[in-house]
Amino acid sequence: MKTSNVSTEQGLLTLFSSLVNLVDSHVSEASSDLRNTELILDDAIKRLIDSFYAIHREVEGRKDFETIDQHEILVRHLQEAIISLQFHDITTQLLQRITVRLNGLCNILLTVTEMSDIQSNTDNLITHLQEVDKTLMQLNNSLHNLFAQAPPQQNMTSGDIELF
Amino acid sequence: MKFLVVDDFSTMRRIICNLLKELGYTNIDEAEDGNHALGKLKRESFDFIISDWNMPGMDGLQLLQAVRADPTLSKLPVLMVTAEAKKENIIAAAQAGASGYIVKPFTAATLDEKLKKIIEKLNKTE
Repeated sequence: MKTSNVSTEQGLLTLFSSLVNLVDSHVSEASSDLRNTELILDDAIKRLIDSFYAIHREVEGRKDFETIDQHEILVRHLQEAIISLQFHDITTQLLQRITVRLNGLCNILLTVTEMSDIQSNTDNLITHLQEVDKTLMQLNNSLHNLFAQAPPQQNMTSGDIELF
Repeated sequence: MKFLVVDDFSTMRRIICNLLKELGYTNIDEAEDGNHALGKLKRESFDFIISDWNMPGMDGLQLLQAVRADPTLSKLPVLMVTAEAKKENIIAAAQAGASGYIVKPFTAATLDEKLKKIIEKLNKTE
């Protein structure tokens, strides 16, 4: 009976360890993809903003518009396009939040893996799992406390709020 | 009127600085977080602060509190321009003495209107 319990425990531990490694591997890949997305977005937006301001300067300097209205309409569209690039700030904040959360998750997985070395004894297994659960709760709370509310904006008119 | 634009995001500083220039305000300096901003405020003379909230080191609320606590800076108008739209944050900014609060993303018209409102109020109290 004791041999069977030991086998079950070892099996559970092996399964647990495999699961942790699997999740850790995917979380690490996701973090890497996010970082690349952030870098690409950053570069693309900076180039866009340079281009928009260059066009804006050109338009401001030109005198050959048929009407003043045409000039003003174009300038207004350019201004709106440049202002829309504010989403760069908001999306970067969101990406950073995701990265912090994924890194926190990796840390949780690492901690749980380190705690997985136990002796083959049923009483110890239950106690151990309870300790792991308690540690998970503490780590989870710590991770939650790192975050302020996410920027809730989902469209470009979200700033049209009369505050004070 | 000399403005100090405080935001850790260079794109946002550029957008705000250019908007201010288009509105006719050309005397503008920048800082990338609250600590740098406070340093500049203590060394140089500014007339208006436009600040983000979420910044590393000293955030926008802490900067606002530091400005209001300093007798040489306390009367400066501070406009919070931030992605934070949570009610508690808006209340905290008001209680800390923010002169105005606009949420990103905002339009040129919103910024213009808010600046005019604050400057008008400032001129009335002087």
